[in-house]
Amino acid sequence: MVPSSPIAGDNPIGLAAVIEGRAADHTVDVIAVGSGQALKLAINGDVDMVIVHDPAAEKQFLEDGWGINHKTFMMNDFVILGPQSDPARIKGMKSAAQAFSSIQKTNSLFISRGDDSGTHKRELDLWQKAGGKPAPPWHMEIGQGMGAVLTMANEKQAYTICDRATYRSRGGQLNLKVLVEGDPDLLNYYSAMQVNPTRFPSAKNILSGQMIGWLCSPEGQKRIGAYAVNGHRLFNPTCEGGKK
Amino acid sequence: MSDLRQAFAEALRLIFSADSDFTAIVFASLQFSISSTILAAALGIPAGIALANARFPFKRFVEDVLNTLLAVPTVVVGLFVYTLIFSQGPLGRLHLLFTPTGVVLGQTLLIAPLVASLSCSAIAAVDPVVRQTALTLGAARFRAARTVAAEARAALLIVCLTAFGRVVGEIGISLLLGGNILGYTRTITTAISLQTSRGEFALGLALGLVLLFIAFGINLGMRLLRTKS
Amino acid sequence: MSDTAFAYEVRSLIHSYNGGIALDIPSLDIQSGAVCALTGPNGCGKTTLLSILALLLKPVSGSVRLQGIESAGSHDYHLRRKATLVHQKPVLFSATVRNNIEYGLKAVGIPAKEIRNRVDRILGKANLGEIAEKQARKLSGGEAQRVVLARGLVLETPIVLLDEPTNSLDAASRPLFYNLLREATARGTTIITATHDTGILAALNPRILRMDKGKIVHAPGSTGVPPNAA
Repeated sequence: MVPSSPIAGDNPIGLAAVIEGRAADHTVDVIAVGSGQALKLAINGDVDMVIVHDPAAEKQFLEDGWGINHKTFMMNDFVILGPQSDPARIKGMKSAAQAFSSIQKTNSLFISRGDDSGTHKRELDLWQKAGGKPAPPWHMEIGQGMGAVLTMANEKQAYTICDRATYRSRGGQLNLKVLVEGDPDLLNYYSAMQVNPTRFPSAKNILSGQMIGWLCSPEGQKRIGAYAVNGHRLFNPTCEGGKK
Repeated sequence: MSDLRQAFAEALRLIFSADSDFTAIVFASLQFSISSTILAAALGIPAGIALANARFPFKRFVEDVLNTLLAVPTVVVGLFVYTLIFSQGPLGRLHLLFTPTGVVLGQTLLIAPLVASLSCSAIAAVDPVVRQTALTLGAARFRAARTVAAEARAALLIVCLTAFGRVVGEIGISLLLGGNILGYTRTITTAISLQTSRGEFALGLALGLVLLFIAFGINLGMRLLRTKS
Repeated sequence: MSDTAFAYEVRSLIHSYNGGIALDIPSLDIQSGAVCALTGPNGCGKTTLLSILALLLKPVSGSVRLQGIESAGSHDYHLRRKATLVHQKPVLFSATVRNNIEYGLKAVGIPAKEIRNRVDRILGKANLGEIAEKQARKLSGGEAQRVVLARGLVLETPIVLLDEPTNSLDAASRPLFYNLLREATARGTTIITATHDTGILAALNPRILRMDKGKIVHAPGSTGVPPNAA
């Protein structure tokens, strides 16, 4: 009987499918939460492994000795979404920060995750770079995941920031367009870490190590690169030996 | 264990220092619940009075339908209203989804049947001689109905408190129709639900304590009203 | 003041509860201005008859004419206002004594000044002046009964129906009450009262209608005109 191995991760749609597809011979519970909370769960010892996309928090996590075996294994990018009408006129801007600044200046509606997730952290970084502090009523923090944010942004025809994978997976449901993309500030790197076995001796050390190893292996990287929804590929493998 | 104690201490600090996010959440809950209770009372009490006084062939059926509506879960009511007010719905043009108005609409729909049903019972429980007395003293039927309702004053207030209690602690409607927007539609129940699942105890505890306090207040109010009548 | 010869003309009145016959009255005429006393054992139908005469209860079959006009059922609003019934176990509203007594006057739209006059007068006559502002529900049995009688009589309707009005009345207050009734008959009010109070019988010399098992078994020839009628 193979025991279950929880992975907490900021789960862009599809990653769970990839992982569970791999884990044919043992049970993997993927707990989908934001990066901030994933790391909290790891610190509490509730999970064996995390997949997150918050480089600053990851660095702190490692420095504090909570985790080991950090591997950046895939990336995608964030995009700024908004209504066709684009009241802040950000379409085609090359700088994400400038787009944010424009949104703030026009007090256009912006839906924020407000949940300590990697996406949220990225959003906050961009507001800082844009030089402003966003506030209600035009900036709406909803404390929920990307799905809920997209639903609300769609309903209210508001701006938001979203990882491309999740946006694509909603397919034609949404009446929101990609208005800003390509800025290096919008790149999104996913990393895996396992909890420090010296701190958590009962963690499934070997299995976690194997999982991380597989994510970086040519086979794993190939699977990650191949995963597509509605004909769109969601991730780019980044380990050496994988495609760029 | 010390984590729990820390969280508890932090919760108390949030309450007594009137942390602005915290008070905004409590205020939103109270605002929505009071508004929906008032609206439900305005709709439900007259309906309950009318039902109590009416005599028509399928009265029993109407009462049964009303009682069934009482058992509908909040998420179902929330879903129903969602389909009405989201952008593709018949009322989509009003842009009520994810607004306080949307939440109050859903909550009112939830408790109006409750108010009607309980009001009907409260009126029916008044001594029938009251109505007879009003009529024989010259009151027309409408005034007689008002007099009977006045005699059921305390009971009707208890009905309102009951409805308030039902709605202040509900989450299905608040979440579906409100969206937990900070400073706008984030209520005690949506905040507890979403904060706790992120592992942040203190705010959840603080809000939970407030909700308990509100529940206690409601019960106290009911007891006072009962002893008065 | 009544302008027809008969306050009530009842024909073929039948009423039943749960399969039992409560009332069976083939014919009953009560003259305007008459004073009648309904007597008989408990359950003989006095209360039911009074309710029907007050137009609060619709009989299963039969007809009731009030001042010559046929009663039509639930829309008898104007007709109903011609008679006032004081119930056997009356209920006071949750308000002051004064508010209770004012109730009927307000209901029929009498102007405020006249209301005040009438109420003050009857408060005096029923010896209720001191407790006029007290909460009616907090009164003793005797006080409450006086309020209830005042509340009914202040309306000065052409017909007054009473169901055992003096049961809870203290001995000292009975004379006050008999006076009020005598004043009413002097005005030409038709009075029908269910009672076994010999005091009323002595004060008003009413026509006696004895009932048993829903029927009127004895209605002796007295026309029921009280001793000091005009």
